[in-house]
Amino acid sequence: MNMHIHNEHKIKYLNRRMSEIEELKQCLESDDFDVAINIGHRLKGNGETFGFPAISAIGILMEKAAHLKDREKLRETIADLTAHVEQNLKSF
Amino acid sequence: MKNKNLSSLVIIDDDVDLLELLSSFFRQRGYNVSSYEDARVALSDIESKKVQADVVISDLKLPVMSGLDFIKRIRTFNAVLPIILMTAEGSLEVAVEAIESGAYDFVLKPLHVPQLLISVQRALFLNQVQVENTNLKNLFSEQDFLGLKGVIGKSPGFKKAMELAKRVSSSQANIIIFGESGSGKEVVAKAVHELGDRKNGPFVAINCSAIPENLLESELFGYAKGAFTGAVGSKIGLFEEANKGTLFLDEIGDLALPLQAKLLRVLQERKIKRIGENQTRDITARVICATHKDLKKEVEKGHFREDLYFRLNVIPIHMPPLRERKEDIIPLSEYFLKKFSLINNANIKGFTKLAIKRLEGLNWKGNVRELENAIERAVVLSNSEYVDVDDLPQSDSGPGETRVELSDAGTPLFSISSIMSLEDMSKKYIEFIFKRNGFAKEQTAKELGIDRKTLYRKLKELESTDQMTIQ
Repeated sequence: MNMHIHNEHKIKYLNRRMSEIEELKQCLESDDFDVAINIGHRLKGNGETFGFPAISAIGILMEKAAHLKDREKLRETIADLTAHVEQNLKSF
Repeated sequence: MKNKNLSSLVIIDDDVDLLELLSSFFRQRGYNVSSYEDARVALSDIESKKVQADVVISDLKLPVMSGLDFIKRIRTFNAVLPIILMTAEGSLEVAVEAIESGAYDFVLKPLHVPQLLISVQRALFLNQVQVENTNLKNLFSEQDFLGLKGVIGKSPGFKKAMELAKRVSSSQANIIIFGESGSGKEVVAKAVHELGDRKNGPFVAINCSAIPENLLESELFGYAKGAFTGAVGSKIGLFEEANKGTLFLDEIGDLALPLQAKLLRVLQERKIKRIGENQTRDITARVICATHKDLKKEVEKGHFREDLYFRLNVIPIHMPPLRERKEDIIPLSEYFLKKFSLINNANIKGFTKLAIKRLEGLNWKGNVRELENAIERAVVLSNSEYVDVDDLPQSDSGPGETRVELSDAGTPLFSISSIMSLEDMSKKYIEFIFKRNGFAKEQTAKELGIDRKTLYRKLKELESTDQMTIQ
């Protein structure tokens, strides 16, 4: 069993993801895959710790897509992340 | 006051979310946390001691300086600081590389924070043990006499004994060390061993008065299988165990006469026979003896063999009692203070002036051993940064003397140098209470918790033995 995360930490975490999503979209337009690799790697490492295992899973796919410079796959993962973050923010 | 510092953590991660989460988690549990996004800044602050670090938690994948590079740089100036690496790269190769680089532990992301807490607690324990170990090593290397660690003293009597020990260390002559109990006879014996050619061999010590005669013989000489009931296997004795080294026989004056004869033979022939065996074996151990007794008087009384006395008394070394080398009291006290402060994790800086006066004023009948015990007690009981006079013994209590204090004023009822019988003790006690109550029988009986008839009977017994006169 992992530690209990207070809602304020979770909300702060999700809001940070919202600003990252904007950054990711810009990177996608400019083919800057390095930023997507770093963000995907971070999400892989922190999503589950904050109680969002789906975000860790999206992070794995995002990092992989960015490594492969697969724009379509990367766009999909950004969309999945957006939907997931928005849905969770609504629940608080 | 005991120094119970909070443990200090340094956390390094470029993931701000995790950095904040971990900082908050550990602060809530009483840790001092310093957090960094950049490993180079953390490295600089640790090296310049701007931050205290008992344990470091660092991400592996960091911009500019990776977690592995961070460890390598830390190890150039700190070999023991535990570093826990975190990574989302879960491969075995990465884990092995991290540990080989000097990481204490390796935890995977997504983090299981309670597991990280356990890792931190274990790392802190390791750090504490390592720091204590280093401090103790430093303590022992600080104190030097003739290049010997942990040998402390500057008085003429101590120096004379130790310098003689040095002079005779390379000879083959028999040495006997005289000195009161607790004066440091074994320290002299070890000095002879350490300063001589046998320093790479074993130093084996035995107290002859602590072991029954029949057991002592088998301890010293060993035995063959079946030599006596219970000898299910053969056993080498201490003479053989100390091969190419030194055998220290403490309290030789208490050795039973039959064993004295056997020891004499060993010293003359340099050969032993294990009990139950016919084969003789050469021994190469140097034998050093010590005693608190006056062996010359013991010889006169017939308690010690004269021939053994002359055989042993080739080079006598006298270790003076502590009361005759007062100059050593403070250096020894400071040494024991440091030692026990480290062992007990107590932040005690020294002694007050009054405490020093008390230390120098006492007679220390139990010598260095008594002083050591007194300082240990003071360190454990002291409530301030300095040991004060109240933390030390109030007066000398002579070894072997028991003071029984029964009066309200604290005046001793009697002192005894040997344990008296229960009956005598009972009589003395009745007499004491009777006198204290002004010979009032009723009050005495009440205080003693006995009826008047019993008291009359007891008092008559006292009268009949002329121990007291009842008024």
